[in-house]
Amino acid sequence: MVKLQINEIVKNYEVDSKTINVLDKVKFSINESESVVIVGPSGCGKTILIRIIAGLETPDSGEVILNNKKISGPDPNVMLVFQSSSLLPWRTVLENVELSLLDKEDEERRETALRYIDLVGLDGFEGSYPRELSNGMRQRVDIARALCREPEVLLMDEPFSMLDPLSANNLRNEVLRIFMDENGPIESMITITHNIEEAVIMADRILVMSQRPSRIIADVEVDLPYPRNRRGRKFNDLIDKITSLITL
Amino acid sequence: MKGRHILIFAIFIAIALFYTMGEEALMVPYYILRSLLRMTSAYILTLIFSLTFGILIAHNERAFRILFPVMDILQSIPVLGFVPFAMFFLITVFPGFGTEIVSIFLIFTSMTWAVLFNIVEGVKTIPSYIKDISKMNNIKGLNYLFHVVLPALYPPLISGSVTGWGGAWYFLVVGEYLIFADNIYILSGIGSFISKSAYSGDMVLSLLGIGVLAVVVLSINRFVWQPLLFRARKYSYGCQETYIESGESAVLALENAYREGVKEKLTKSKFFSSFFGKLFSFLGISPYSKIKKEETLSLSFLALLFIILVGLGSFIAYETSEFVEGWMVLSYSLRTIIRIIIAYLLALFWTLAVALSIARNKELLRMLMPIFDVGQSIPAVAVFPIIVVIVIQVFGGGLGIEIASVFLIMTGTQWYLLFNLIRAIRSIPGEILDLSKIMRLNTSQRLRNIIIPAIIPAIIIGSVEAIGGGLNATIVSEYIVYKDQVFYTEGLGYMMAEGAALGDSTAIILSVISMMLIVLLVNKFVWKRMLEKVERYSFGEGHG
Ligand SMILES: Nc1ncnc2c1ncn2[C@@H]1O[C@H](COP(=O)(O)OP(=O)(O)O)[C@@H](O)[C@H]1O
Ligand SMILES: [Mg+2]
Repeated sequence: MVKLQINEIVKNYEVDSKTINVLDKVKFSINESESVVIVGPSGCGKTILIRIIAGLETPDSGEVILNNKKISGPDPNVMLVFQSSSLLPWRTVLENVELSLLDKEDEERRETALRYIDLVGLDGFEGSYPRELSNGMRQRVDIARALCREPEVLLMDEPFSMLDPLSANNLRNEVLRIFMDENGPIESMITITHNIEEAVIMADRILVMSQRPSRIIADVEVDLPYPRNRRGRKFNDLIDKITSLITL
Repeated sequence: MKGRHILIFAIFIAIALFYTMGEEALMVPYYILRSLLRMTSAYILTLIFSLTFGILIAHNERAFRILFPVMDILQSIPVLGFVPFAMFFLITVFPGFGTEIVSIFLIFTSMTWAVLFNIVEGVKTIPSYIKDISKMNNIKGLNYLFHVVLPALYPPLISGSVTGWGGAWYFLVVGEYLIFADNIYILSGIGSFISKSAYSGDMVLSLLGIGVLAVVVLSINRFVWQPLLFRARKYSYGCQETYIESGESAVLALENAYREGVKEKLTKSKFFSSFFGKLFSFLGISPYSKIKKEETLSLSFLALLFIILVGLGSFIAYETSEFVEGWMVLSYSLRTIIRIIIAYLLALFWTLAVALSIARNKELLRMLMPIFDVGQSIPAVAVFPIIVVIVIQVFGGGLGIEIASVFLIMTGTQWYLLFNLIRAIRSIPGEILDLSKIMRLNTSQRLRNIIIPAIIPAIIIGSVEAIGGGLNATIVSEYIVYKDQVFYTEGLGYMMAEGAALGDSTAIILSVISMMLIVLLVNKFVWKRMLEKVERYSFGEGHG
C-alpha cells in the first residue's frame, strides 16, 4: 500500500535576481511500514525537500499526497525532526513534549508525554531544562515530541549528525526499535543523511539525489535483515554502490 | 550590591534626613510611595501599550507599514513636549486629578519606547525553528501567544523595561513639578521634593533627595529587575546580559501567579480561546505571519511633510506670539545642535574609555553597575545647585551657563552610550579575543582591528538613544532655576521651557517640531545609513 507520494516537486529560489532551480521534478513514493533514506551531496536540496513534505514550505509546482489525499500545509500525520535540536529554552523536557499535545485534555497530555519520554530513554529528566541536557538527550526530546503525536509518517533531517558516534549509534538503534515495533506509533519513515553507512543501516530503500538541479537518480533496495551486520559483505557492497552513485 | 548594603545606606540617609529636616522627614516615605505609584501606573500602561502594538506590528504587514513609522515619529517627540498640551486638555477636562494623569502620561512617554522597540525587535529574532514547531503542532491563538510569543519576548521585554524604567526616573522630577502659563502644579513625590530643593538652591536637601532616589533605585534593581533578568537568562537562546546578580524574590512569586492565574485560566476558557483565536487570525498574529522588510520610508516622509506644514502654520502665526521672532527657530536649533554634539562627543569619549577598561572585568562591573544605575536616574534638575554654585560662580554668567548646560545635557546622554557599550563589549565572543592573543596583537592593534569594529553597531544604537535623550534634556539644561533666579542660554530647550512658562503655544509647537525634525533627520540620514553599512559586521546568524 502506498502511504505517501511525492509528485514532480519543483522548487526555485531567487538569489540576487537570478533563479536557482533547486528541486527539479522530484518524484517518488513510499509504502506503508517502509523506512526510506534519502542521501545526496551537500546543498542539493534535501532539507528543502523534507520541509516541503512536512508542509513547512510550498513547492513551486508538484504535490505531496498522503493516503491518496493532497496535503497543503502541516498535517498532524506528518512530523518532522530537525537537524539540530529545536526545543523551546523556557520549557522543561516534559513541557516541550507536551507542546505537541496542546489540543489534548490535561490528564491525557501528561500521561502520553511521560510515556514517550520514557520510550526515548529520558525517564527521570522530565523536569530538566534543555540547556541542562547533552546534545544527544536534546535530540531524544525532539524525537519524543514528534513521536507522541503518533504520526503515520515520521520525517527526520540528519537527526543524528550533531551527536558523537556512540550516542548517534544508540539513538539510531532506539529509533529503529520503535519503528519496527508492530504496535508502535509510526508507520513509515523518511530519514535524510549524508552518512552512507547510516543509510544502509536504516533503510528498506535508499534514494539518491543528484547535484542541483536535483532529482532522484537512483532507488536502491536494501534487502538485509534487521539488525544489520556492519561487517557483512553485502553490507559493504551496498556502501560502495551508494558511494559511487553519489560521487557520479 | 547586596540587600544588606542598601539597608545600611538607607539608614544613613534616613538619619541625615532627620538631622536636617526634623519631623518633616517622616513625609519622605509617603513621597516615595506616591512616586512609586506613579511609576508603576506608567509602567503598567507601558506594558499594555507596547505589548499590544509591539506584537501587532511585528506580525501584521499592514500594521507594520502604517504603525511602525507612526511610532517612529511619535518617539521623536520630546518627552516634555507633550506636557503643555496634555496639561491644557486634562486639567480642563478632569479638574481634580488632571495633573496626576499628566504626570503619569509624561512618565509613560519616557519609558514606553525602549520597551516597544525592544519587543518589535524581539519578535523578529524569534528563531525560525520555533515558528516551524508551532506550525507543525498547529499552535495558534492564545496558545501561540502564551506558549510561544510571550515567553520568547521575555528577555527583550525585561531588558527594555530596565532601560525604560531607569530612564523614567530622570523625568519623574519634571513630571511632579509641572509648569504651565504662570501656574506651577506640584505633586507630592520624591521628584518634586528634589526639584523644590534644587530650585530653592538648598544644596544639602538636593543631595539628600538624590540619596533617597538612590536607595529607591537600588532597591528596585536589586529586588525586582535583577531576579527578572536572572530568570530571563533561562529563557534566552544564549545571549549575554551586562551583569546579573542571581536572586529569588516576591517578584518571581508574582510571576508564578501570572502563570497559574492568567495564563492557565485564559487558555482553558472556551470563550476567551475562541474569541482570541478569531481576533488573532483576523489580525494575522500567527507563526505564519511574515513581514517583508522596509519601504516605510515614504510614509515617514509623508508624516515629516505633515510636521513641516504644521510648523509653517505656526510660523505664520508668529504675529500672535510675543516671544518668537525672525529667524529665532533656526538660530536656536543650531545652538542646541552644537551643544548636543559637544555633549555627545564628551560622553562618547568617557563612556568608551570606561567601558573598554571595565566591561570584561566581572569584579569591577559588579561594583560599578549599581553606581551607574543610580547615575542614570539622577535628574539634571537635582544637580542644578551644585552646577550653579561651582560652574557659574567660577566662569561667570555667559561662559559658565554655556558650560553648565553642556554638562547637564550630558546627564541625559551618556548613560545610553555607556550601557550599550558595556553590553556590546561583554558579548564579543571569547574565541575572537583569544585569537587576538594568539596573534600577539598589542593593545592598539586589538582595539582597532577587533574591539572597535565589533562594537560599532552598539555605538550607533547607543548614539540614537543618546541624541534623543540629549534633546530631551535640553529643556532642563538650557533653563536653570536657582534661588528663584532663572539662568538660561538660548536654544530649543530654553524656547520650550520659556514657552511653557509664558503659555505661548507658538513657541512650544515650534520647539517641539524642530526637535522632532532634528531626531528624524539625524536618524534617517546619519544613523540608519551607518547601521546599514556595518550590518555585515555583526555576529548574527548567517544564512543557509
Ligand atoms: N531561503 C532560501 N533562499 C535562497 N536559497 C536557498 C534558501 N534555502 C535554501 N536555499 C538554497 O537551496 C539549496 C539547497 O539547500 P538545502 O536543502 O539546505 O540543502 P541540503 O541538501 O544540504 O540540505 C542550497 O544550495 C541553498 O543555497
Ligand atoms: Mg540539510
